[in-house]
Amino acid sequence: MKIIISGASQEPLYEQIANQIKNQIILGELKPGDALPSIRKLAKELQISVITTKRAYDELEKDGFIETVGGKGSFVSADNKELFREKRLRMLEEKLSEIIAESRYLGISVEELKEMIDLLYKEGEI
Amino acid sequence: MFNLLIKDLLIQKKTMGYLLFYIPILLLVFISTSMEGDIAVVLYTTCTCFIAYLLIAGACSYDEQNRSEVLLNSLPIRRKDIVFAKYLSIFVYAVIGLTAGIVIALIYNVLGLGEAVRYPAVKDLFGALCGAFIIGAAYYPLYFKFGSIKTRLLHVIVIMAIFLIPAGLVWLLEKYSQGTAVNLLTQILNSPDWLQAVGSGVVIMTILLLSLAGSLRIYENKDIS
Amino acid sequence: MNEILEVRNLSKHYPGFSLKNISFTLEKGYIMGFIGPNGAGKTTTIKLIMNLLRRDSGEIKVFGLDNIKNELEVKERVGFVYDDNHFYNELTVQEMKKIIAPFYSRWDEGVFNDYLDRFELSPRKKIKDLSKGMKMKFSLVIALSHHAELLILDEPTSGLDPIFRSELLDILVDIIQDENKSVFLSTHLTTDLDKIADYITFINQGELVFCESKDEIMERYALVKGGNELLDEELKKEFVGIKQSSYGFTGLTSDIHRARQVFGSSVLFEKATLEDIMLYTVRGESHVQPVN
Repeated sequence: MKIIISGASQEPLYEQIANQIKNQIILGELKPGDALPSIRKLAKELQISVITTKRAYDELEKDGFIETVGGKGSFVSADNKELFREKRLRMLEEKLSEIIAESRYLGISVEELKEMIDLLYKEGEI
Repeated sequence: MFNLLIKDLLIQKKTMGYLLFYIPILLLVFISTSMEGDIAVVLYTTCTCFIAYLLIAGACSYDEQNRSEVLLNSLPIRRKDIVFAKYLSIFVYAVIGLTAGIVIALIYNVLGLGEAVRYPAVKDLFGALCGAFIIGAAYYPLYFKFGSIKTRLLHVIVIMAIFLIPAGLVWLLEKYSQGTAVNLLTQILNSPDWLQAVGSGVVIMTILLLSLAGSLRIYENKDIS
Repeated sequence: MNEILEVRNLSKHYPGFSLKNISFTLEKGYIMGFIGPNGAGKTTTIKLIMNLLRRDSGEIKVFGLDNIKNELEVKERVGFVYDDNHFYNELTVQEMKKIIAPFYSRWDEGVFNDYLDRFELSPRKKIKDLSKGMKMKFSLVIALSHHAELLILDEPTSGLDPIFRSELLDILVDIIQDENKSVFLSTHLTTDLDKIADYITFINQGELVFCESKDEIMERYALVKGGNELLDEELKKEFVGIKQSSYGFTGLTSDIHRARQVFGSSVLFEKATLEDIMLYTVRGESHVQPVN
């Protein structure tokens, strides 16, 4: 598991941590059943407050990404294919919005864009 | 509590080496050259009292120098126990002083350096202990209240007071009813030895207990910084 | 019962200084930084907790026990490190330990020796021959060798180099890996706490400024930077403290959301460190430098 936090960023630390773990789960780098480090161990390793790591884990648990078993620790939730698919779809939508905004800026029409997508899709299949 | 006693001895082990060697010798030389007859009483009493005083004041001054009161009171120790240990140490120091005196007397006699010194009888022990107790009883309340530096000055005054007050009372008594004082004193001095001993023992114990009570009260409420 | 240290309405009066109604709570498993400028009352508070000073009013509970009525049990379970060396200078490390150890029923000789090795402290060295850092390490070893559940440190890092301070912080973080233990650390060097503290209690001139989780503090305080033309007497009150130069002002706000509403995008917002917060709060009232 890789977590890199920045004190200088505007985003609160707990969000940075939660998002990075979230992404790793979505992208499959962290698999269902994988054990996460305890909040204290993580806080020690990252040199931050345990309240911060606890908050990050609480977020993840609220969103269904992890489960905490009392006395044993926190684990990546099983059976999240639906959830992840939804999340990834949403991420895809966001990326599409960016592409569309850029296309508009460059003056590319929807048809031209669709042509580009067709081409690239076919290339990807080879 | 006994650990505190050991602590006081441990921190003074260096100075004790000098004290226990030089003081008895000095005293012996001084006394034997300035007195005639049975010097034993004087030797043992002064040796005990002197050494007891030096050890009492020494331990207290060490504590103050190192500001170790803060440490001691942060440990799981009751303030009561700190005071009790100090008073108990009077007895321990007295025994040490007395032993030093006896050892020197022993060496003196064995080496035949002069007229043999008598070994301590009960009255010598009694006198020595009483002396040490008075010194300690006068010292500790002052120390707990004012610290060891001021105590050194005030201590002498208190000791003098302990002896002057009875003298003052006698003088008062004499002033208001002549003769009674003399009669009283004669009676006391003529009473059997054991009675005198018990009497003075009671007086000393009272002084000691009052001193202890005072110290406890002072120390329980003291702010330590 | 989760509170390891509870202070309620603590007061102590001296001729020149008063500690007034200080209240704060520390739960098990956390590090609390106790900050304030010199003379704010941090050492006084700690000495009151350790019952070295007699309080005038208020309540202090450690492990749920009254710190005076249950003094012995409390002190058995508390490890302390003070900024001044209170050991007997003429004794060796070993001798000093021999004096202290018997007073603790939970003294652990094995742990003590392990720490001596880890810190490279020689048992035969005299206390007076130890450097300031080594003396502090020795204090720490003693504090950690009797299975203490609460560690109280009063300015342990003043006069020590950053490498040493970093070592100490690592040790403290290690301690709270056990979620039943806590650390209470007073310091005016707040950079140490910026990272690892869980809670911060800030006192100034004998009064409590705040006691909150560090995350919350960092989230709501911010530095606001802008041009002098933006300020008038009314707006100055929005700030805890302001510094003005001929080029602009920097102010500390304790409510960043409100500040965003009031100033919008005409100013620059920056994260405030604990040091900033302490500085602007303490100098707040006597603030503004005249604009040239």
